[in-house]
Amino acid sequence: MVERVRRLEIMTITEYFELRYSKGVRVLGASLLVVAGVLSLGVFLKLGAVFVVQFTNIPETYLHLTMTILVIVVVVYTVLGGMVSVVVTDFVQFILLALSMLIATLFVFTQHGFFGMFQQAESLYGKAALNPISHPEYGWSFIVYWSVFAISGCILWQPVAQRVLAAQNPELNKAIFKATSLMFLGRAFLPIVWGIGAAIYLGAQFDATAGMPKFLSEIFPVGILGLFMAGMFAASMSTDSSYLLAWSSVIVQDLIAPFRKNGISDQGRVFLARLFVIIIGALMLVFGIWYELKDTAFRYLLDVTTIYYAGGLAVLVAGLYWKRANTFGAYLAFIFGAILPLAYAVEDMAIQSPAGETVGFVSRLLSPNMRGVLSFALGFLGMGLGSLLPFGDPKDQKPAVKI
Amino acid sequence: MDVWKLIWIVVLIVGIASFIYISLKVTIRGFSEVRSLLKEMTEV
Repeated sequence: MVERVRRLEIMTITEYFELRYSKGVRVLGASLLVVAGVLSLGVFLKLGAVFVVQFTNIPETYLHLTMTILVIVVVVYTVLGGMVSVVVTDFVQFILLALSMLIATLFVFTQHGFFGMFQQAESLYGKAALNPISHPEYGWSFIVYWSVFAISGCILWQPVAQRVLAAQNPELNKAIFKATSLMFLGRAFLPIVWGIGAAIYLGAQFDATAGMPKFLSEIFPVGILGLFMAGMFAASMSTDSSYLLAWSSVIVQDLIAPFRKNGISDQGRVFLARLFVIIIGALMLVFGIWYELKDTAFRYLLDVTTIYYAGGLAVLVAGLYWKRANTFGAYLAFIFGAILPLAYAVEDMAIQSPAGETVGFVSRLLSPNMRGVLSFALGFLGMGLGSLLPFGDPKDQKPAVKI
Repeated sequence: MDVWKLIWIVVLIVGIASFIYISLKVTIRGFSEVRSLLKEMTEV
């Protein structure tokens, strides 16, 4: 799938939606992508600030001030430097981050022991500590949901897709994918080790977001504390800057440019992209201060990203492999796929009650995993129905893109 | 040994080893890439 898309010589996946379907599908896809992207970015700032506050033992009353300083720093260097500053700082930050992640993991293993950690986790959570199938919150439905979700992310999520689409050739693209999949395995597992370590150290009831930085700040000696703080600060900054740049580019490229008759000059594009970096940065701050996470950040991110992924995967797969896929089907796929996660996100934000007390209609209707699986299924159902039923305008249909 | 425990241990070892290997590779290659990028920019 990735190789086929790379052969089309496009820079954003939403360009493919116009190439294969229509300008309207591109705009709808880009709108859902921006909604999912900005909503996910909204909690990143808070997570970064909670980490800084817990790790450095700053009083929690300074949380909002920390968030404000973080967003100002990242917006200023993204606006002033643009893509080159993001690439160069990302590289320096990567070195710092990789080093501090490995050292942190070593300290966690020293604290609990490599094999001892698994035994202690089992005594804390029982069989469900290591077996996802027997865990009440996970099980097969989660494994199916997460597998489809992760595949979608490789090609539909603009910050990841831009690396894929910018590769020199499809062969290099494949090599990047093989290498990064192993890298992602390590990158995902190291923080999991810290989380297990924190749960053992502080107890299972301790707050999931605040526990890990608190635990690490207590086991690290002076020096390593500073290195790790710099590494995590780097991770937070580089993620925020990449995302700010990705979403502002999507807004200019896919939502504004298609409606300008004479296009936008290069200077105009840069100006608009910078303007949207500032606007999204301000939104991040307002959202981060106002919104209270009710479940884990992981669950929240799964839900908001599914708004775009569920329809996007059907539109992309059908466009690449199914000749009868048409514009009407693509519209239905996006709409059907977004219904459940969007309804949940609106309901979740409307009910700003303390954690554990949210019992909205969508939450009662379906478990989070079933909601996710069903959203992807609805995306494909929309594509199938729209393309097979005789409601679409025949003039709207384009032949499959020749690759 | 429990199958799930074995899976966790194997995946953890493979994950950490891959992370170290690719981090080293990216760091070494990245230095020359960033240097040429900055050189290009200064020339422009």
